Amino acid sequence: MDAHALKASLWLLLALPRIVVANDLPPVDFLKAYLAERHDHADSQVLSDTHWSQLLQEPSHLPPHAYTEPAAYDSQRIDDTFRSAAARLDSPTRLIYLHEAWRMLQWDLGFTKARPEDVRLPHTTDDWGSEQAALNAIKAGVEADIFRQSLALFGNAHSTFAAKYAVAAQILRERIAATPEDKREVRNVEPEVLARFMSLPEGSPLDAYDAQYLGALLESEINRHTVARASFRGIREIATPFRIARVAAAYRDNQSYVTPPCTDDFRYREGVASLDPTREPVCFVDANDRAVYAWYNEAFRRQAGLVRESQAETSPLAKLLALLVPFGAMLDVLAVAEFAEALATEDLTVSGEVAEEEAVAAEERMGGLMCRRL
Amino acid sequence: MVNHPRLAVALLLMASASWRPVEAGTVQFTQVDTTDAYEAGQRLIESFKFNLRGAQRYAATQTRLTTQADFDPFAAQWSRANVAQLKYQWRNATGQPRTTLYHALSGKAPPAAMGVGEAQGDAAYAMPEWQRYYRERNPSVYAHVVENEPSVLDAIEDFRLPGEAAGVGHRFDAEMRGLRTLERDIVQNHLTPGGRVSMWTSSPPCPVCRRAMQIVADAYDLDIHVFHLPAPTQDSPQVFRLLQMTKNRMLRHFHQRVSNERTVPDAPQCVRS
Repeated sequence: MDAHALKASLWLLLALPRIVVANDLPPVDFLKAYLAERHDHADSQVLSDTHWSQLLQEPSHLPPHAYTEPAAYDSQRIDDTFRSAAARLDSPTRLIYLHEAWRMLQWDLGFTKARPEDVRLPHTTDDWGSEQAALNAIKAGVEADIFRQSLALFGNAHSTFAAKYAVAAQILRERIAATPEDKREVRNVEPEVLARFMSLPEGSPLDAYDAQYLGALLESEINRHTVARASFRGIREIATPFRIARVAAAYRDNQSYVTPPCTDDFRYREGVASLDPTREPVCFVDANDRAVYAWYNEAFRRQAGLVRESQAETSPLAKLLALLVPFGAMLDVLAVAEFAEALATEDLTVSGEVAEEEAVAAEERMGGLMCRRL
Repeated sequence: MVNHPRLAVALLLMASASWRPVEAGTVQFTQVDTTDAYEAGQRLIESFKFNLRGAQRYAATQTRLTTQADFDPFAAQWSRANVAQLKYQWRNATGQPRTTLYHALSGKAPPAAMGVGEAQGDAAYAMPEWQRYYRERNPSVYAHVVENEPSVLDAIEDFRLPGEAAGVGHRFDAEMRGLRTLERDIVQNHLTPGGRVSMWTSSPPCPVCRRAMQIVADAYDLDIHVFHLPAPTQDSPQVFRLLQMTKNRMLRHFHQRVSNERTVPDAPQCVRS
């Protein structure tokens, strides 16, 4: 029996509905494989963000909102390219099932939530300040000590900035762990930067070089296709912009609400939680990553606006925060599928699988979106 | 005229034929392999972007540059430019560790590269009123050569390689610009000598640059470690592809950025950074 026949048989056995959580997902990049398949079959139809939203979210006669559920896998809704992309990723030891591929797309493109079943939180934990904050921060892949330290440095008034530095510090910690000592210099991995960041007393300004270093690290991660890495908890990592948004949401959850927007079982409270994620209050754990990102976008702009207004040019904090304000320029676009597609296509071009013209075309589509939204 | 004591001492010592400082600096070269290429490339992209941002501010002040076609020759030239980033780790007067970054690019300065002005010879490689366009923000420094400024590199009589035609030779290579700017900061006491330089370059340094590195290392007791990408004809084509694609992408957006800058200076740009 060849691999594909075996796979088909196994799939029949596994046809019963089964929840696939992030931990079960194999560490492969389905979106990239899908784009490569489309290239191989000269499929020139442009896939918009709307296409993915309609495919991967639960169909409804109502417009989608912050808490729309991801759609269950439906074999009727996938095409041949989808199937061959999954086959492309098969390895002798690990076959990729179609429902897994479906879930990968939902996870990587931001259609999933941060409820206990999504992030496999084994028990209640308040290491991050509250259970809801823990759920968001664990999905963001940011450890509790970094989470607390970044907020201690920036304060609640600048929590959206703190979220960026928390993610940058976590990325640095993971790079330090993954880089042999003799490779640190060439790869510009500086454990001293993390050590200084973690040892600063509350409210202290970051050293200018450290701030620049962490900012550059974050920017390079945002511009990189980083799908399928595992977080510190072994969960499939979400895209960097979503990580930042989830950390900021966790900070928000640790502040008080007049009426909690979530129920005790982590569902949004009807009549309290806003369906429009750009308006508070939002039940973040029940909202998908994109919705949390939409909230973050507004929150960041609000905080950045206050920084600009209070702009004492000489204030070390204002200067530090100003380093990150330019990221706001492309905030809207980072969450759309076109952005992920542009990065994945760039990856395929670098590895020689598609021509540079295709990367340029994907880039132009994204660029058009940016200029429209500004 | 040499009016900085530190430079004067360095030049005096070098005048001696048998000169070799007791604590001579070291220079080491490492070719970046594929596994390290991404991170090294990020350093270079950062420095390229720093230089490009200044060029954009300059272009925004030039009313005769308004169309994409105006910028095409410039883009073609800067697309081929070599990039270097120097990271200098030093200690201040109280012994605290500090780091300064020098962002360097090879070739002509924006006015000459954009065909604006009549600068010829060395002047084509100098950026007039650079502080107006290249906004340094600690720890980032714009690497540039100042005309007629004394340097220990004056010991190099000819910046051309054997067989190269008359011209500026390698005097304005990215590595040279980085070294000259670091030297200036040392002799002007903005920072202290005796530190460590990590330098990333987008191609193997030429023999003239290698000699310059040793001279600067010896004069200011520096340990220089150069991480260079392989020559284009060697392996690891992916290393170049990503760097080149990113440069091309940024240059493609140059006209758009200049237009935005003209409308609202320093406003967020609607192009990917």
